[in-house]
Amino acid sequence: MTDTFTPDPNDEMLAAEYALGLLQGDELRRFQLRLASEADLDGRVGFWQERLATLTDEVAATRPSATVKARIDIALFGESSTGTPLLARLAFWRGFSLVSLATAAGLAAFLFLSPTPTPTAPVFTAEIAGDASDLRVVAFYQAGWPNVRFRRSEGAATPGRVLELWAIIGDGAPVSVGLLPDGDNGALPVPAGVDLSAGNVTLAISDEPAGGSPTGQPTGDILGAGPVTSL
Amino acid sequence: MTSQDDIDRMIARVALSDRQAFAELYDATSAKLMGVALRVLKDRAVAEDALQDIYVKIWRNADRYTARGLSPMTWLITIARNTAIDRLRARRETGGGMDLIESLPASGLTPEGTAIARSEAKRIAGCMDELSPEHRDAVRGAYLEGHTYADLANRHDVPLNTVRTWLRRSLQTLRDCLSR
Repeated sequence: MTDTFTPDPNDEMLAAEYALGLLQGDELRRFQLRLASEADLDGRVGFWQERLATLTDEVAATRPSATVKARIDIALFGESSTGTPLLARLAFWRGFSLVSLATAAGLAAFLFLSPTPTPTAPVFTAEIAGDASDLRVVAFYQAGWPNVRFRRSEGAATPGRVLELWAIIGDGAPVSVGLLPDGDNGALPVPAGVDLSAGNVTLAISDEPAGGSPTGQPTGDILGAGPVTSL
Repeated sequence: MTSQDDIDRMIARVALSDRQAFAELYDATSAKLMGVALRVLKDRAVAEDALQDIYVKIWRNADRYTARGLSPMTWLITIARNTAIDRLRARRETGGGMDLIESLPASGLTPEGTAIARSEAKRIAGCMDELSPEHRDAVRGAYLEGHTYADLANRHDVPLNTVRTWLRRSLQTLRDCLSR
């Protein structure tokens, strides 16, 4: 094993490059394999990490939005154990801000299947998914359409229960869009007063008793949520 | 002002699943780590998503912190930076993510590293001044913004193998300076 105080010069450079994130591909994998078994090499990485971290002295501290901590608590501890208020739950829903590539690929196929797509009108989509369930629904809307269309790629209602789709405008209370039918594809009329092209709408799906929420607001677990974004 | 020792104790309590300590740690460090993530990702909403991942990882890996020998802020900053860079590279699909767990030392610093970690860590700022401005920018760009060798070659308009040669020369200069 290499002597601690006279490390191999090339290893020293590899450790520095690794701490900087500059190693890639096979070189990265080989280095990671060695790290697991070579304590000295590991120590050299620590040496560089310790010093490079001080470069962040120049980075301005930036207070995150107040909702981030609530999202972290929900992700780690679950909403039921913390009695999370509705506002924090909404914040959590809006946390899913990136539409995955799989979604985009699915949409390409979906567009093909959709009746009468209008080539010029703006297209909007939302990927409705959550960490705590396997439900994954892609909603699809084109400006001017009366309906929001959707495709379910994973997950289903538990027996005796139904899936209810909600639209949340900004910080407002959820508005019921309707119950998802059993099939993988479907459409629901966009409720009056909801503009899916407005850029401030989140779609969410909750688990509800047969017939849908009796209260007009979600009563069961939120199985997934995602913002409506322009495609 | 929260001291390094305070942060150290908070992480130790988080390792025992102390949620109050986790809340205190978040209050004491989230603005710093948000700054680090934002510097890499440039977009506030994306950085906040990354920050969520960062604190989930801190909670889940806190029990591995004490064995590691890094100063507490270095441990936190390294998680934040690597998580943000993983996101950046996943978005760009260039591959080569940092892979957080693997990229943290598993067994701690060598005796040499431990002895000088706290007292001399600040010296990299002075050593950076020994580099030419262009080389200094390259090191800072790699660390603070997650630039790859390909990014650096583009930015500085030099061939890929050239950029690696001169960046390694810069790292050697830093190493020599830090060892003096």
